[in-house]
Amino acid sequence: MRKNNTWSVVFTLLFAVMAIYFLIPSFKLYSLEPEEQRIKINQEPELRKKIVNLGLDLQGGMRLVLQVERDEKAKERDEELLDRAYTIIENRINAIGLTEPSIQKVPQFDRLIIELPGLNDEKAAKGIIGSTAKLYFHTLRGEATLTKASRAIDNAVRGTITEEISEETVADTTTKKPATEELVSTDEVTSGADELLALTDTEPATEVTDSAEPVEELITSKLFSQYAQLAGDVFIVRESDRIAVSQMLEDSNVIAALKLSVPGSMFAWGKDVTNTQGMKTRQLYVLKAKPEMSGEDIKSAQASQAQGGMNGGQQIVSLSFGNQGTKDFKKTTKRNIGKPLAIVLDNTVYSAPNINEAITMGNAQISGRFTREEAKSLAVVLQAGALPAPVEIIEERTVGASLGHESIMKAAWAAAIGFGLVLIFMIVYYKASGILAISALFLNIVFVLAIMASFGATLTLPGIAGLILTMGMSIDANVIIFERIKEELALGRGVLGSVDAGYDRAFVTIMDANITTLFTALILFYVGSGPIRGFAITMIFGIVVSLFTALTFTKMIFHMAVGNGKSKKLSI
Amino acid sequence: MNIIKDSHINFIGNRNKAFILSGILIIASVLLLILKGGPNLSIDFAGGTMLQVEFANGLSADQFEQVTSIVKDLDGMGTPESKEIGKRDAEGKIHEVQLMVKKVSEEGTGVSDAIKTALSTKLENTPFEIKKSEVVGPKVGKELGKNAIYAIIFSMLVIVAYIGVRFRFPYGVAAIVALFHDVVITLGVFSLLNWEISLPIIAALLTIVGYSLNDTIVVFDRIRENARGKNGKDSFEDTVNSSINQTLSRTIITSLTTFVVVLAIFIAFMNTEDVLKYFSGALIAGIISGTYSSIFIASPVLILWNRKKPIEQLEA
Repeated sequence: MRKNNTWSVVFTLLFAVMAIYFLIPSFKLYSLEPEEQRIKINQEPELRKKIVNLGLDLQGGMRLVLQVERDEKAKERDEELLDRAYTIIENRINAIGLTEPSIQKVPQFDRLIIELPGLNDEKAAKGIIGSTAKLYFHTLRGEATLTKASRAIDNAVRGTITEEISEETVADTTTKKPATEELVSTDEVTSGADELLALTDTEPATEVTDSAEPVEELITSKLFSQYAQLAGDVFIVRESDRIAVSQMLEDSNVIAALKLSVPGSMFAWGKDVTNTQGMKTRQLYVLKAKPEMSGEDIKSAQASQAQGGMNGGQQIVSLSFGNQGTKDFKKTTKRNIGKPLAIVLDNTVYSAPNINEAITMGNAQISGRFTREEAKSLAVVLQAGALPAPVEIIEERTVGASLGHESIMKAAWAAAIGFGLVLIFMIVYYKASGILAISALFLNIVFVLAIMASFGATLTLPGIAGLILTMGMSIDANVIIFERIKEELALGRGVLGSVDAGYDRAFVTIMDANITTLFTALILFYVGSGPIRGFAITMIFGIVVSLFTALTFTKMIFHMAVGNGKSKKLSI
Repeated sequence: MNIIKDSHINFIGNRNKAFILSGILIIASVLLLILKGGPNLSIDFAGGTMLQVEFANGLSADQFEQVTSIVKDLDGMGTPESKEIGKRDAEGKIHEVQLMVKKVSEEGTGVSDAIKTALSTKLENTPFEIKKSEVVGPKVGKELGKNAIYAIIFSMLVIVAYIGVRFRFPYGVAAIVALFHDVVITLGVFSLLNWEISLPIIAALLTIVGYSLNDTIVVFDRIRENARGKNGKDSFEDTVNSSINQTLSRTIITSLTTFVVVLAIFIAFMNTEDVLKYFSGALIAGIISGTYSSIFIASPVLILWNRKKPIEQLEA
């Protein structure tokens, strides 16, 4: 008996020392200021596998679940779709320069789970991550084509309107739109805007009835030409009408009509909203559907501020093509001298500058009304490359750092109070044995945290709740044993005998009781994600550790106290 | 020290009263759930957007109304709700608000931006900070919902199997009846208080399923031990009754210690809208119900079974 006991003591001390060893890196890190913490983790990324990491709900940050939209109709299933998307998104996130981002693949569902701790600008991050970033260069259709398109749409749409619409809406009001960003004489724009206002004030009846040839879902009170004013080689639409026009353009009859009258053309909205005399408008382009070239071969993209010249002071993005891209660009620009070339990203026209000469050096500039953040985001996205498939953000959870901090404080309170109450009860009820149980409890917490640190596991707020819960539950095992010992003592057994009998009899009960809780924790781990997983982890480790300490550590101490067989009483 | 020494409470004799009480509670819970059109699902399962907003200068009651109507005005988006969080300050101003739009028909990432824009443009001089935001797409919500139900059913099956093997089948059945009782009553409490069922609540339910079994097993263990020992001297009912009495101390103390720590969590998070408030609330209901069901449900069910088909005699 003595020898077993010595080994037990040795092992326990060993475990305790190991636990402290595992916890040292975490101690060192979290005693630094938050800023210094970030710096340290950036410098030593492997540190994450040696510490107890804090979940997003504790340190603040954003969690995104991205769904990669696979083309189900594609002939061959692209097995590497998710991996490629992963790489590109990883590049983008790294370019943003955040600390310790984490990206996980979920192959069964074509999903990526992204965690960005300490994120400041969520909108920019989402924009960068979610953008498909397919860049193309298109030529614009000329005025004649635009007029044809407008008429075709009007005809297709006419079936739903009962009133007579006067024909003068379009033809009289072509304003020459300057084809470059260079000079926009404010006079010209103003007068154009006035005319636009005047026209759309003639409201036709807004009644919508079922006509002889019903247009499917399209309900409109105006013609296309009343929404969209032709201005050279572009349409100008009021921003408030944008959704109505978009719906019109998606109508199947309209699409069919356009296919007949202006084949090989596509509509695309401009990126910017212009504000003239209090009225917000957006440009609607008609482009040649087949692009002149794609932006696949972009070697680098940089955001900067234009120094002088016509774009002075603006934010611009400078592109540099690779070899093939440079060749293609030279050909494209040569072919289109004197004409505008639209730079289209994800089906939005960022700008459509006039090509003055063939560009041989493979450099291009995208200028427009960017903020510095927008320019930077665009550069990041172009440089990292286009995603192989569009992605959708299907889940997004953001916690501010201040809330995270508050939560930690509250949880600490709860843990302290809970622990305190249990402590008082155990000592009052079980006296010295109660103190033993509490020390076992303390050991449990240290061991659980050490195990988590050794795996680099993440502690979340529910995880802390799980720890607190196991505090209460680990006491249960001790109570079962102690009550059994008391029963044996009451039956008249000697002190040592009671202790051993107590442990023996209680063993089976404790195992059964804790295994069921362990089962549910395992199920939670498998089914859950994020914070719930954090809870399951602390429960699982907590139960395993408390089983160990309850059955071996405390027994060992009892033996040390009464092993010599001479004591007659047990403080229990 | 002993809280309960040699108790001889006639638990079994009073079992019919207990059954009636439980029956009433369960029926009440089910009725509540039906009346309220099902459980109050959070955006985790219904899909939608939630924003927790802190207003540095505080909102007057009027301004809070304004904020509420701003959210309601975002039409076509789903079911909007707004709620105060925490206490009002000395001037009666509200500092923290939860805004929610559930069940969006399209992908809802636009909703949180729309709300933020509306708040900054329509309210004057009210700086605010988004402390927390959550957006769950509708498809994801349904998926999470399915998974949650599977998890609960699966864990119950695993447990019946385990208890059935470790003890005997009737014990497994008795355990499941008790568990079912606990889960339904917890859901009933949530329905009564209009608390939301979110993912962490499902975690709490699963924890209750696992944990409330602890007491039940302690009692079952004692029943099995006593039944084998006495070899037909006492009736099964008396055996069960004395087993419960013998383990009473243990049952009460273990439930009490866990209850106390969970109560601590609840009190710490009571004035927030943090999920731990509802999580610990669920555990509180579950622990109380679990302790009660171990004594007044699981054991009586065993007795009923035993009347039809004796349990312990099958073993020896």
